[in-house]
This record gives sequence, C-alpha cells and structure tokens, in this order.
Amino acid sequence: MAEAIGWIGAVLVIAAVGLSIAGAVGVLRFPDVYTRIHAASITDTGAASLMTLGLLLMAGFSPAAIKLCIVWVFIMLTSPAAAHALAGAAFGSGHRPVLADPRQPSEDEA
Amino acid sequence: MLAGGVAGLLVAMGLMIVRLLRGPTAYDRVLAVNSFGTKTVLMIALMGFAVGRPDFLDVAIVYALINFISTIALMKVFRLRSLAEPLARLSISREAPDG
Amino acid sequence: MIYVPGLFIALIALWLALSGHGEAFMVGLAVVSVILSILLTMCLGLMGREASPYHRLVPMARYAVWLMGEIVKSNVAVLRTIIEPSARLRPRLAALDADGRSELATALFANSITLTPGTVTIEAARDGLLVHSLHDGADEQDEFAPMAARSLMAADGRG
Repeated sequence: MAEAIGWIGAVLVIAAVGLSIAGAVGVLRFPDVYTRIHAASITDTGAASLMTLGLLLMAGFSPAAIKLCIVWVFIMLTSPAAAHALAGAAFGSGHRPVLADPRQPSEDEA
Repeated sequence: MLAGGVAGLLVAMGLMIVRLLRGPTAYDRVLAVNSFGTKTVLMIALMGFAVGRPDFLDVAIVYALINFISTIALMKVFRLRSLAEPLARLSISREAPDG
Repeated sequence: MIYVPGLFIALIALWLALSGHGEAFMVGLAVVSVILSILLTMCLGLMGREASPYHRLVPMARYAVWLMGEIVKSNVAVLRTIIEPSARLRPRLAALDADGRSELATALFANSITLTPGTVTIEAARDGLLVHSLHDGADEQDEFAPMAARSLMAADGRG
C-alpha cells in the first residue's frame, strides 16, 4: 500500500516536471510579454501544486510535509502578486499587448 | 526516477535562460528570471527528497522569498525609478493606446 | 486590538512548524521575535479587519476549494494552447467593473484572476480591473461573472 502511494507520488512529480517544461516552451513560443505571463503561470500554479502533492504522498506525515505545504501556500500567494506587478509595470511603461481584435472594448470607451 | 525529474527541471530552466537572453524587452527578462526562480524552488525541494535530505526545504522557502521580493523590487524600480517612493493608488487607464 | 491574539497564535504556529524546536529557551526566543513582528505590524498600520479577515475564514476556504477547480481547468486550457501547433491565440483586454466591492473583495478577485493561468490582472483600482486573457470568450463580463460573484461572497458575505 505504502509502496503504491509512493509510486503515485513519483508519477505526480514527473507530471509536474512535464508541466514545468511545457510552461517553459510556452514562454519561448508565445508572442509578447502578456501571453508569456500566462505560460509562466502554468509553472507557478499547476507544476508547483502537482509537485507538492507528489512529494507529500512520498513524504507521508512528517515535519517535511508541513514545510512542503508552507512552500506551496507561499508560491500560491506570491505568484499572482509578482505576475500582476510585471503586467502592470509593462503596461504602465507603454507596452501594449498584441490583440486578436484590434478594436478593443476597454480602449475605445474613452 | 527523481534524478530524472531534476534533469527535466534543469531542461526547463535552460529554456528560461534562452528567453532571458533573447528578451526582447526588460519585462521578458524579468519574467524569465522569476519563472527560473520558481523552477529552482521546485528543483531544490525535489532534490532534497532525491538525496534523502528533506532539510533542503528550508532552502526552498528562503529561495521562494528572495525570488518574490526581487521581482517586486525590480518592477517597482522599473515603474517608479525609485524604491523609496510609495506606490500610489492607480486608476485604470482607459484612454486609447498611443503606440 | 482583538487581532493581536490571532496573529500571535498564527506566527507561533509558523515558527514551531519551521523550526521543529520545543525547548523552553528556543520557544522563549520565538515569543520575543513574534512580539517584535506584531509591534512592527502595528507600527506599519497593517492591523485591522480587512488585513486579518478571521470572520470570513470558512467562506474563504470554500472559495479556495472552488478556485482550485478553476485553476485545474484553465491549466488544461493553456496547456493545450501551448502543445497544439494548430491552436491560435486570441489575446484580449477586458475592463471589469469592481464598483461597490470592498478592497478585500477587489484584491481577492484580482488575485484569483491572476492566479488562474490564461488571465492576468494588469491594473487594479477602486472602480475596476483591466484584465488580459489568452482566449476571448463570448462576453467579457459573463466570462468572469462566476468568479466575481463567488469572490464577493467569500470576502464581503454578499453576492
């Protein structure tokens, strides 16, 4: 039983690594800063959550498990703040996103 | 098994370095550094379990803290050209894009 | 002042979880450092109802569980955009209303949007949010309506 849980944990960890690579590929492929932020947030949320879950299953209940949870909560709290700061600073400095529809509702209101 | 995971994360970090070098804007580079940092945190945590020393998690916590604070500080400097000024409350810019 | 005991318990618990030490001397050091942190918090003016919403812990926890589901869904969507060569990006900016929400509710809403892959809050202000999203849906207000309603419910207790 414990063996099986350990294997499930290992599979989740490998899935997290896969998501992390996919996020990196997205950051390379996407056309501008704003779309790249979306790709990077896959690493921040999906990969971090799967990795935490996988390592939790492998660790069982221990002090390490509590620290894992702290790392996870911390990443989930800080990554949106960092992404928002990045997007806000880029927008504030005059970078405009590449948009699918050039006539934007948010911008032709004025 | 876990060593393979660490290797995969290293590959992802290598891709982030490509984005860091290619830019083109400063914001792309900061995004690359921030994402590189998140991957590093994951890699440190994974490595701790791979070598049987979960104490590495303390390092991961500190690295996550530094990663966040450095991104926020960089963005504040980019935006205000200063770390000392308080960030004023912004109102949404609804005017047409100028370029 | 009623927020001090809650913060004290939370910080001591964090200290114990991180250090794993239980000796009297070490715990004494912990108490000293926690009291210093609380004094610092008070000097910075961060204590208050919105900064420590203990009265909303249960709705917030329920909202967090719902948000996890949304994060999984949008992770899959963005992942497909990355790995499918034929997938097309349709980036879009949307201005969302945030009138009548408390600052806590607006912050929760904006953070939830940013946390979900595929959408990021570019600017957050009293009167509204400017959101960049990877895929454009049918109607911008409708698309975010469930999250807006649930975050308002979790933070302000009304919908």
